[in-house]
Amino acid sequence: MAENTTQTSGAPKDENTLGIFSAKAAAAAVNAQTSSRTMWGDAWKRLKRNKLAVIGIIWIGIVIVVALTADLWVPGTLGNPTETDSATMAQNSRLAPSPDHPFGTDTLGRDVLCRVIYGSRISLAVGVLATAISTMLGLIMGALAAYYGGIWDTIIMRLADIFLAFPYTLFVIAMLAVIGPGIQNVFIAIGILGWPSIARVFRSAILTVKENDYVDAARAMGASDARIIARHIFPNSVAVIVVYATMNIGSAILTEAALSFLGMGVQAPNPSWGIMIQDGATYLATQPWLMIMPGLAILTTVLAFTLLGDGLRDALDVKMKDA
Amino acid sequence: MARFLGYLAKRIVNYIVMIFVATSLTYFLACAFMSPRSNYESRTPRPSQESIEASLDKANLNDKTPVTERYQRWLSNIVTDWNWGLSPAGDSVNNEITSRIGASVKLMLLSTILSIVIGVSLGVYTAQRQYQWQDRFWSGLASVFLVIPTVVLAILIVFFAIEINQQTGQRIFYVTGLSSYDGPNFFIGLIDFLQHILLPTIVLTIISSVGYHLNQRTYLLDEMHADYVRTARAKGLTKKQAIRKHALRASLIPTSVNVAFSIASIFTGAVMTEKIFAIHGMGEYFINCINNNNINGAVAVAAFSGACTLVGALLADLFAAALDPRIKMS
Repeated sequence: MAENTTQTSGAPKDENTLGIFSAKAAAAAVNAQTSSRTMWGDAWKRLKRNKLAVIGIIWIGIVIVVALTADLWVPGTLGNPTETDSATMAQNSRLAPSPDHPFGTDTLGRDVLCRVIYGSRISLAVGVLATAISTMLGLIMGALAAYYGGIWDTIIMRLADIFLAFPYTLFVIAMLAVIGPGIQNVFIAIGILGWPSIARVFRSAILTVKENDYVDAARAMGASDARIIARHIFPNSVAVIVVYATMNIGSAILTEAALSFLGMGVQAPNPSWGIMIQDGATYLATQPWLMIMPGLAILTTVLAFTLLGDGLRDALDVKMKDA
Repeated sequence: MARFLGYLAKRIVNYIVMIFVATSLTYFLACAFMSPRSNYESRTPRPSQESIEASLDKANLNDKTPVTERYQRWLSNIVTDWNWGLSPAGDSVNNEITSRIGASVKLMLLSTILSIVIGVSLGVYTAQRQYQWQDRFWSGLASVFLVIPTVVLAILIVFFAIEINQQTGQRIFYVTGLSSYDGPNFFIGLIDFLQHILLPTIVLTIISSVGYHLNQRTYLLDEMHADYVRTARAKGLTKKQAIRKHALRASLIPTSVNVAFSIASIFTGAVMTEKIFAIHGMGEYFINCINNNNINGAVAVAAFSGACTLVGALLADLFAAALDPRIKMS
């Protein structure tokens, strides 16, 4: 409850002051509020003071809103991201940026801004869903390894080492060759194969938490393993997971772009940023916006997730040494 | 010393077992999911059933033979003759790999060494100037390189190289392949090679030195605030001396561990750079193998990347042992 009230009452006011006044004034404004006593309330306060993290949050927010509302306003103003009109294709091909087409048009006469906007849906979907899958798998594997130890630990961690020792993208390519390209398969493959790093992180987090007396106390009171993991260990290592997952979204977006560039990921005519870069690379010397615009879209979005992840790491005071 | 050699031998055996298991797993997975038979069945005109079976049997790729039997034959060929098998079309995997391995090894070796040297030096440099403009500049640049897609970076570098070539009217940089000189003169050959490999090496070095830079900065900052560094300062060492003699050494240990795992990511980066610079290396071969149902080829590439990681891991162990006296003692 406490964190909710802090967010709703404090957030809008502070975001405004951050932009206009000095950081000192913003810090004073934060201190003036009733102080929060929850971990998340404190973390949110520290996060708000980190300008780069706030920029990251704002940019991610913009991208999410644009991606979600695209159907409402984009087709009417910028046209369809995939359909081509053979009658006007030749005269609309690779037009320079103009008020009608802010990012120009591509070879098939489609508006680049429109495709970049729809591309954000693919990138966000892949980033979030792949991260969700690999986080779930990683948590299960990490919990099994750390909590039960012994043979479980050896098998799972050796397996994770093997996965980490082999080039991850090649694994994904191989898996996509088997299950076929396409957007669902891309996030399934990236997600399933991404578990080892999060399993390692979660395992070491559990091993640290497990030593605490309250875990022994819970066991003495007859709590089951599942309950101890869910009620005591998970809440105490959730900070690491949140930080790690945030960073992971960015790298999943990068992997999707690389796969689509190689022709192994999302297939044309879907407007994936990776495909757009591949299409545009040929015309870099003459029509640079074809590659630069989707490239900038990837760069800013991944950067936003990295900044947010960095900010969360500082705000939650997570050590990433063993990541 | 003897104890240390024993430790090293144990690690080597450990790694070799790991690579063996991983490669075998890859073999079974590849056999389960890739279908060389479809290469023949999709041909027009479709070859006769007998000739399909004969070709598949010859390459040890027939899915009608039990997989354990194929595995045994595959393994014994490698152990006895160092023969990694045939592609579905009947070409020797060994020949393909021999002609490609040089390109990949040169590219990866150069960029691994360069990225470690540059990344670690930058990390040390920026950590000592925490929050000064040098630190902010380099860390900001690193954040951009961390998130820029490899493809975009590579294509931009190619673009600028072509611009420079055009401005100067000379071919300073080559943007495809690894050599275009066949003559006997060693020096012309070397310069030609350098002109080719420079750009892909720059791309790979940039993307992999970023990790070393940021990590080394964090590790050194952690150590710089440790009690033993304060003790050293209290005993009269200057800040520089205290860092060089005490904090730096401790901060290099986790960095050396990172070397092992970064080899795999440099290999991935190499796949992308090979594609963009049209270098016929292992990464390109792997993608070809996947597309052509070439089980033996794909497994050989996996084994190669495992071997690269083994070299990296061993180097990491050696570095760590040289830096961390506890390893030699225990």
